[in-house]
Amino acid sequence: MTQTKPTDRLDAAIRDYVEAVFREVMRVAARVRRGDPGDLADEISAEVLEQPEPIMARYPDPVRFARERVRHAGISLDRRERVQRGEGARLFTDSDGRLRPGRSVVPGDAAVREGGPSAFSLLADPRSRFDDAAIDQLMASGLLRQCLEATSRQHLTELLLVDALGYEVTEVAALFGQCRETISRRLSATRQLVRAQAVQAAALEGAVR
Amino acid sequence: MTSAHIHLRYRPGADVLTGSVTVPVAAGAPAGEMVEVVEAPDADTTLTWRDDVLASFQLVFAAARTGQGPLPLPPGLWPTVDTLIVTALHAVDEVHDVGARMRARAEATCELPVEALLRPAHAIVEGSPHQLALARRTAERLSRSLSQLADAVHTRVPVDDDVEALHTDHLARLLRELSATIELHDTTAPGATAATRVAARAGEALKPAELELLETALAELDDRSEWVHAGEALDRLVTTLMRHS
Repeated sequence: MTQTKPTDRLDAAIRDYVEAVFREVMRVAARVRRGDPGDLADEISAEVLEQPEPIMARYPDPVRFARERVRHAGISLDRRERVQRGEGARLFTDSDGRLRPGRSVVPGDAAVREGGPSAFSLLADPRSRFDDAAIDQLMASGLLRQCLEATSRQHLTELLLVDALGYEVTEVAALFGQCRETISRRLSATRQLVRAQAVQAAALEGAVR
Repeated sequence: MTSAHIHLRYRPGADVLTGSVTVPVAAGAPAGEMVEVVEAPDADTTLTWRDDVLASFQLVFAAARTGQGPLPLPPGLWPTVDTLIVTALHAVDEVHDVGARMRARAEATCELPVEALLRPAHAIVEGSPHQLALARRTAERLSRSLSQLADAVHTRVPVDDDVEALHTDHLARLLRELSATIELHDTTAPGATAATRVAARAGEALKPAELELLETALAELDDRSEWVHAGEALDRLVTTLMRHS
């Protein structure tokens, strides 16, 4: 008698969940956005794949999760594109003949993944007034400094290499002579710490205001 | 005869097909504001028309739909779409990494006369507020029935056959996706029903009579005028499954 392997079923559940999220994002985004909604669906499904179990536990229904997420992610993507345009990023012709920016900027409210922690995202919106932008940047810098105080220099370096500069975990592991799992575990712990600090700092900031 | 350039993009991981049409601007044509209409005949289809010529489209569950009737696209596109989908699915057949599957995309281009991409003449009928409220309530009821059906199917996951367990899990999850899609979009979802039909046929969770009842219900779900009957068929199926579980 063969036994049902829980890992196989979990893997299949994650795959089905991510696919369902992707499809619902495409359904919603096709009706409200210009351009290819696949960009947005790619972002959100990658975000789910980064930490599938917590998301699946919190939002058992992938369709509802996608609808919750798509609005904020859409705003974030628009904001990033505006930042790229505002910075005069070079444009390249994509395979579909459209012009797209050649480099990416951290999204407005990105989760902690390739793009970097949310604290990095408090970049000034180029459409906002200069003084607002300056205040935003000062607040972002203060918040970021506060969040990073609790982390060691080594852990912070690893976090910046991966989340801010786009290095692969394997590259960072090779750089410091560690195994990939060790770096991955440290990164995860540092991200959680930074996130917890960011939430706490934001709550305090809100209370002060 | 003017030719339009069509760029197709298929994502095999999520089974989504998108396309964009480029029509060359005729020399001497008056420059003016184009009328753009976004049409969503159902939850899984989006068509954008620019001056009554197809400008872009999106089909969710495209592969599942190709095997079960014509796609809601100009017939001239069907051969290219079929080839694109088959080759893309074949290419990711052995790819087991979810991230890689989700990132995979296949592209194709073709040329068609603009005349083949004209919007068919049909009237868009808006229902009265009363009809819309009624449809909303029916959608909610159907969604509940589909959700109950998914729960009932899940009780049939075998403990001694891992392949069949995966099939049954997949069918239950597609039923839940169909349930949520119908409820949240408040309209038919022929892509999700097609995928559910494929999943139900692939596994052994349902007996032949139950499968037949499910197929009847899914066919009725694709036609809003048959939704009342679909609800009855689903309720019968849930009762049958619960009795034999």
